[in-house]
Amino acid sequence: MVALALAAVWPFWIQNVYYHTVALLALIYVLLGLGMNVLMGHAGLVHAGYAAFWGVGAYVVAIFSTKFGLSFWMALPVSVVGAAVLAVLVGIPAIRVSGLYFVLVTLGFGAIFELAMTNWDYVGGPNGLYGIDPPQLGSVPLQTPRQLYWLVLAVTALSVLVMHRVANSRVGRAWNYLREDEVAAQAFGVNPVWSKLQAAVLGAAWAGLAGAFFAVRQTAVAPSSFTFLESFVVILIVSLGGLRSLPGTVVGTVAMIVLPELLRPLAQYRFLVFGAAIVLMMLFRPEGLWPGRARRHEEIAREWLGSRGRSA
Amino acid sequence: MAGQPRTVGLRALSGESGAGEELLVLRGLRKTFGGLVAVADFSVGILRGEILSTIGPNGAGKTTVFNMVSGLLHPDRGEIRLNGEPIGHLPPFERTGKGLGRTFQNLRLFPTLTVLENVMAGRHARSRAGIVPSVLGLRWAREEERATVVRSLEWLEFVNPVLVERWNEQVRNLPYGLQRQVEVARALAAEPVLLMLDEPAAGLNEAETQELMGLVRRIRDSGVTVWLIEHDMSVVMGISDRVVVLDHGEVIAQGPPVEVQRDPRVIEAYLGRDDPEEHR
Amino acid sequence: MLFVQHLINGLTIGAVYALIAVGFSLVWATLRSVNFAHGDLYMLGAYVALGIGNVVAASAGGWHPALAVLVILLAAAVTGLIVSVGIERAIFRPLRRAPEAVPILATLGASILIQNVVFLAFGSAFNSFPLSLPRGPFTIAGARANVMQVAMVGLAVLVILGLHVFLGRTKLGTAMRATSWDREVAALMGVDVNRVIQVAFAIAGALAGAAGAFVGFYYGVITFFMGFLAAVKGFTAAVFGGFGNVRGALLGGLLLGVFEALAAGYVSGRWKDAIAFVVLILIILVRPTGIIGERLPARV
Repeated sequence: MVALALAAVWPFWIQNVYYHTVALLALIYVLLGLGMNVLMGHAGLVHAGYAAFWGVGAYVVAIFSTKFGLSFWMALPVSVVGAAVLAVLVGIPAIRVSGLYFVLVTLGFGAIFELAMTNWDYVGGPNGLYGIDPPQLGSVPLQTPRQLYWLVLAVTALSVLVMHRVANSRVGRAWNYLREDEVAAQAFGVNPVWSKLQAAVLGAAWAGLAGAFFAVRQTAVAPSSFTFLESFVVILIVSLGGLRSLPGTVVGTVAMIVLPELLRPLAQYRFLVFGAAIVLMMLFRPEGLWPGRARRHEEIAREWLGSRGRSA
Repeated sequence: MAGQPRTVGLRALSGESGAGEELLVLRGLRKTFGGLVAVADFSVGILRGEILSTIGPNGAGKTTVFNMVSGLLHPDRGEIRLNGEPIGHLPPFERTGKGLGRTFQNLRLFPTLTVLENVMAGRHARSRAGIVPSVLGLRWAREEERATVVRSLEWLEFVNPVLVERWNEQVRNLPYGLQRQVEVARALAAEPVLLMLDEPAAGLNEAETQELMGLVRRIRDSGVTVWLIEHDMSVVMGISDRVVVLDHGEVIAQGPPVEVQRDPRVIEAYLGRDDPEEHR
Repeated sequence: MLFVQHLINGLTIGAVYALIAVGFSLVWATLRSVNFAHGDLYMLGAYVALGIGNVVAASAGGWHPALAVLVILLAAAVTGLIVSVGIERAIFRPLRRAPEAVPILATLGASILIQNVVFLAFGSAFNSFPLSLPRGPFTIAGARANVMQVAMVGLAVLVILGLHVFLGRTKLGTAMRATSWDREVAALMGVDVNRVIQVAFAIAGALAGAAGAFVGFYYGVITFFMGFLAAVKGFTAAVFGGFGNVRGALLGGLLLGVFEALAAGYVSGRWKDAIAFVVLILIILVRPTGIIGERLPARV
């Protein structure tokens, strides 16, 4: 709560627009991280074609705005649903294979998406689409990075709440069971196909959401924003921060997106440091910077144990 | 003990049909792998309220039978009925809801999850909240969640109060004997009518084995039918109402433990082989 | 004839894919894991070739072309070998018992690291190869080919088939196959599993480095991010031919190269790179055994 309040008010004091744009980008990556956390953290599905869902969200907004002059708010649900539909189409074949093969199949789908956008002239091919209108709030266009930042902050706060509840639900636990032991999970009533598709749809929907906001931040979209590398960036955000940890996703985003932006003067070296940091993290702290696990069921258990005079 | 979950008592009281009736009927089950016949022709009826043991040398097809009943393997032919209802066509995850619960020969816990989370898996088929009710925080979904936690703790206490003390530890950090008990608690949390235990005494020491036998009796007394695969003859002879002997994929004898023990075919199946592992 | 031309071009690049594929196969067979930085060994090979090529080009009097090629190939192979073994020691060995994803993510980090070292050293532009070697052009069935292509394909085929024979006949090869069958049993039988894995990485690195040098000679242009796409294609070739199988890697590499060349020639050059991905997806989903080879071990 304190963190949210701070996140909401700092732009009043710090007027530098550059910081606002960086913060906006960071929030978009937090949204992406929240979705990936469902897929990879909970369901154990390392989706290497994740950027395609993000791309669908962004392209939908771009097409609605530049081709039909339709508003952002009409495009937004289509972005989310479009990404979710793609997730089902990719997911139905892909979830039949596990582990590394899932990574490769999804990597392939992601690469095909990027190539398809590059070669599709309607969406501008490699140049993409530009001149995307900002979203309107009533009659006010949310044009400045600060305004967009506040909008996305509200969306992110809501998303964190949703993801927290999902993670602490029966469905969220089923993903964990599948990740840990698919056979045992099935023996206790988890339908693996259905459960994994749910994870894929939810994860992709958040990527679509992030993509829609990304499109209006950039006011332009191009295939080069949705390469496999972007998928890996998101995978690394959630891994570095700590899987299944909401604060971890924020920490991971700061490490992967904000620090490199702020260190732009040292731009040449930032990927070098970044690569080395990943290796060192995996060797010495594979659980991530901020592994978190405050769980609803733990509160209930402590309460029950307390009521029975046991120490929790 | 206050930890005894309500449902156990309820089922025992409300059992619409008395003991002695066939709960699970297997007829003519057969399974081959490639050219190898794992189970040739397995038929057995498990009576409500009994403790049935299946014994037999390694490779006799015992675990294969369990896997067919729980749906992890598809029989080449044969019939599986639970409470008179055919379940052979159902995927494994739908059989739990019909009243089957099981443990695995080599532990299949969720290693990095806590003891409590493992047992909560057993509640999956006994609860129904999907994503939307959970996210909206609907009252019934919150109550269901609460019940899931409380029931799971109650089952842990039923199996072994020590487990309640260690509810929030990663299950892989528990000693082996306790891990086996967590697996039993997880299976019980699914509130099965039939509990299938695959070599529950494997790897346990003498004291733990005694404790296990007591637990199996308590489970049966709470109204759950128990079917176990076991190598340890002291366990089999000590707690079984009936024993089915499997060899080379076929039933070679069945009946009360004392009779089976004297059956010449059983003696041959065990002693005719030079494998000390079989007749501990 | 156009078809023959595509075939020749396809086999040439296919030989490169095959050399990379063998590395993925060997590492998979012994370790059941994947080195995401494998493509960067190939990239390093190309840059080593570039560096030595510069020296050779600068030296007055000049070297005999065959000698130059030999020295460059060896240097590239040794570089690939050293870095590959280094990755095994620094990443895979300490993480032998970690969850599957951890070492793989670490090699992704190593890949980024290696790429940026090269980027800082050589810049982001495409680097032109300094040495123009005599190619010995000739025509075959109306199509243009050259001696260099023949040498590349021939050498790759010979080396890979040689490796196959080596694995089948020698004690080390037997140890490698035992490790591939079951690492723990192999260790119990007295196989030095760590050494076997190290040898697999050494061979993988050497072949990838040499493949990079080949590409430098052949295309004359290299760049620091060339490793990724090459790795995807090498990997696809390995899966295509039958993962964990040296001959399969050869066959898969050559076939993938030919497919790509035909698709680029008859369909559209813009979609060329999609071919590998489509093949990869179809193989994994439809025939995970590849052309030759046993079933991929599924994690149940």
